[in-house]
Amino acid sequence: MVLFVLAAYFVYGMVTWNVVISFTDWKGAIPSYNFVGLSNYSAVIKSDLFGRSLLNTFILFSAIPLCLAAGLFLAFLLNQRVKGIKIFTIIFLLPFAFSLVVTGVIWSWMFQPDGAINSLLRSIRLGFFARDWISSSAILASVLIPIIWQFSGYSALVLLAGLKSVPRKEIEKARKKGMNWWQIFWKVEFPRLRIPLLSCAVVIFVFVLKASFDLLWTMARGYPPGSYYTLPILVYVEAYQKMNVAYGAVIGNILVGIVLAIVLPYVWFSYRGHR
Amino acid sequence: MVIGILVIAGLVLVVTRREGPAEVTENVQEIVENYQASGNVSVAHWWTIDVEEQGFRVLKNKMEQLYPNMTLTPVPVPGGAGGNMPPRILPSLVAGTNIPGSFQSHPGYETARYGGYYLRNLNDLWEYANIAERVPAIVEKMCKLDGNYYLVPVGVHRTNVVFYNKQLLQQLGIDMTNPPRTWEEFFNLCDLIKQRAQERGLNIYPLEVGDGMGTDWAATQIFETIMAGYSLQTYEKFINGTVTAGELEPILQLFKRYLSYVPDDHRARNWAEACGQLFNGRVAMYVHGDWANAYFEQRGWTLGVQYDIFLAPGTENLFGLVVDGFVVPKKGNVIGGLRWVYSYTTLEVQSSFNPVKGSVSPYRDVPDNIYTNSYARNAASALRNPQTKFYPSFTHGIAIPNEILYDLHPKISEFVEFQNVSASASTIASLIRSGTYTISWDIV
Repeated sequence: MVLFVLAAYFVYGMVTWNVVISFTDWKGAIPSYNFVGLSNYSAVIKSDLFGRSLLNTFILFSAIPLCLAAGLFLAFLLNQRVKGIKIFTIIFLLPFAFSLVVTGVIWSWMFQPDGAINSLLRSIRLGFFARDWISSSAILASVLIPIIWQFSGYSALVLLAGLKSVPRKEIEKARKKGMNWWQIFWKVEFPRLRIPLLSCAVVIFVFVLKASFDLLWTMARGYPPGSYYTLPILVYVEAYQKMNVAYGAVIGNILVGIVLAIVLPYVWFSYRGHR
Repeated sequence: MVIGILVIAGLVLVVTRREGPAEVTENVQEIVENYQASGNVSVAHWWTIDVEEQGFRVLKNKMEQLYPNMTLTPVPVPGGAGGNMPPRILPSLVAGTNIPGSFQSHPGYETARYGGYYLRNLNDLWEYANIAERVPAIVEKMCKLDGNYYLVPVGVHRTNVVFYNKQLLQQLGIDMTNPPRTWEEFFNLCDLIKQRAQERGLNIYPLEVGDGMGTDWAATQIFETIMAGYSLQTYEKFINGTVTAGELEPILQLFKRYLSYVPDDHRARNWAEACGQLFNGRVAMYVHGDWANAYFEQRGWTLGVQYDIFLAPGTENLFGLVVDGFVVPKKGNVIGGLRWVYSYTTLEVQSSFNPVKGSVSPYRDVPDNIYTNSYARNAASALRNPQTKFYPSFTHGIAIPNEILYDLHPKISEFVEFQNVSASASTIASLIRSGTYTISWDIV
């Protein structure tokens, strides 16, 4: 009951309020509730910066399959009954404990022209890979690296649990049939990972959305907006810095729409699965 | 169920609580002279690092000495040179809950965005503390909106200064007895620094920007100073929203030249780290506001020995003005807020606070001998000099509307990146001309 009331007020109430605001002329610190129809929506859609921010947000979503692939690889290694598996699990999971702002600051230092990444590349004779990692053309690609670093440990843990749930009998049976390790993985273990992969993808989607503000705001501020603005950053800049409240609310609603479009099918799918 | 309702009721109470007593008197004299008053006042501020934090502690201690039964609760809102204050404070103001007794602001447009709708009119306090007579006319004008005062100034910073590593330039055999007075002379000096460094096999850059790691405004700060030094007329048109692309082009040309002397990786550092480059001898000079002085003093440098300051070229008689102050929201703890803003207008608090914070007192009755270095004494005397021309800083939200400013920073970032003079001049001019300007500045 308490949770219901709190969720009704702080989640559904606020989201509805945001929708209401998006149809008003509220611009500036002082609230104004005159109805202006869809004019804020058309202004947002016509804006080049909105289009660019939307594209940048979708570019960042490419981190989701990359995190899953890295997590799957780590989970596969951890499932090999190696010594010290607990230590490796902790090492892989540790980045997940960092705040995204801390991650942003640390990786900004490492990405500097004479920072750890370039120094490491030069010391192992891969100096030709050394580059200006945080430049206006490279920032979005570079930021995928700390995202994968931070979240692949989490997906490894979830997928490891999935791998562990495969009965040993089935694996033994496959071995007896003469399957090699790859065939066992692909034909016996991987089909069992469908649900963990899906739930992991949704959780990482939420994390990436969070990183699309925290990480980029920490690492890229000062570059031309088109090179790094994402929808969450655009909401913050418009609604809070410039106080174009109604305009920011529109972008917020679009963001909520995108999240629902991705999360609702998953909720429906898992609900149906449970039934 | 019952417990649930109680929990929610408790939450609502916590969220909507108002600190301090309900307003019982509006007489400002009765309020500020009630030195035995008790209670608490919360004050939101952005002075959270180094000397800034020490400065705020002086203000807090002094207020608690003046009102021994009162306590001050600082509400730190770090970052963004105050840019994070509106996002922090706006939701409280709109919801009418959790409003601090007072919060920090810059005068001009930054305070105008809240205006009389949210803020208590402080005309009575200004009269009681005789503030209008004690501060320069431009400061008085900045604090007045629609004929009313909403902000009480606490300290002033000068934006048009150039820091240089004195030891480094001595090592390069460069005489700084007569610092450059025009931008042409300034860039000739940069060429000389480059040449001498090359001759000695040193990897030194003449200048820095400091526009990375969250302080993109440091680039706007340089653009502002170049503009004021190049033409105060253009500056006046800029802050009144009437500047043209043609008028901005020569300024952007100078800025482009400035950028040719900075390290390629300047975006890897914020303004304080840019000062660090100067401190470490990797950079010779840096155009920034005088608050950077505190960075060097904190690290044991003495002005005139290891480093020095000269006024930016073309700004010898000018004073780029950033005024810090506090406002009192109508729906907060107004009585506590009034005691707080009054407390720091006194001679004693002004004399203790400004030397620690590294700012100059806006109050002209504060003597020069409180300042520990010659720069601050000169700035204080410039503040009183009738020959000084003041220009309000637009980088810090005072001189142009905030929605224009937050679009300007990214436009300056674009210029720093692409350095396309005519394209940027045209986009910046059309941005500036698109604003609604409610303050008419007369600075020439």
